[in-house]
Amino acid sequence: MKSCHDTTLKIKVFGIVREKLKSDTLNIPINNNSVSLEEIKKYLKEFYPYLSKNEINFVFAINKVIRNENVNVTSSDEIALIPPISGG
Amino acid sequence: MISITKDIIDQLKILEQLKDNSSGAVVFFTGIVRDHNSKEKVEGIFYEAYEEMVEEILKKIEKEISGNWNIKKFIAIHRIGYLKVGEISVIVGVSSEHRKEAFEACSYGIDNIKKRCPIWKKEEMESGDSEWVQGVMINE
Repeated sequence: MKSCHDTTLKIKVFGIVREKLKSDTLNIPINNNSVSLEEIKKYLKEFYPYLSKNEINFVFAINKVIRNENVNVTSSDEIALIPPISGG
Repeated sequence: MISITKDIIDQLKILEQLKDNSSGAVVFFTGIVRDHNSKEKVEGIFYEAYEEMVEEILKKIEKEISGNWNIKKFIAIHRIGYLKVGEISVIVGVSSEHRKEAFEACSYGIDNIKKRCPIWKKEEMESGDSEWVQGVMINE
């Protein structure tokens, strides 16, 4: 049986965040089947000091929809970190 | 028609696609790479997008426009990759029977692309420096 400790969340990153962290995907190991966005944020700020800087603001998109509330996600969700946008 | 593309945007081709014998008006917004920012000379801009999400949002914007204005055709295309000064980065085009609907729908289209689409740009300066444009929090 697969251990639940094997679960990894993949988070897509873009723009300045992708460039600073030198990767377009961040992997987060999780202990449960699901984890809240607040827990993800806490992990990211701990393991990626760049993201704990005050000037870096971001929100999450879950399955291509912006979620501002603290929902739970699983490894089957498509998670993306969205820094301020500047299209046009 | 909505899309994200790496190809050069051909405005005349899009005009032909928007034209329709029952439409008396075609209105365009065309975003073009400018040769300067508030501080220095710009050589070009690199655009990056969360493409799948942009497509979803463009579809929503198209639906909102069709529901709110009596238009015939709507086209929104955003280019990604490296663009030189003078190249078209985004185009929004609307055709309708009369100009008022086309102007309003076109304005709604570009305003909402800028507020809601996860797209980022990095300016490459003539000095050799480059900088991600600060941007605004997504409002989707």
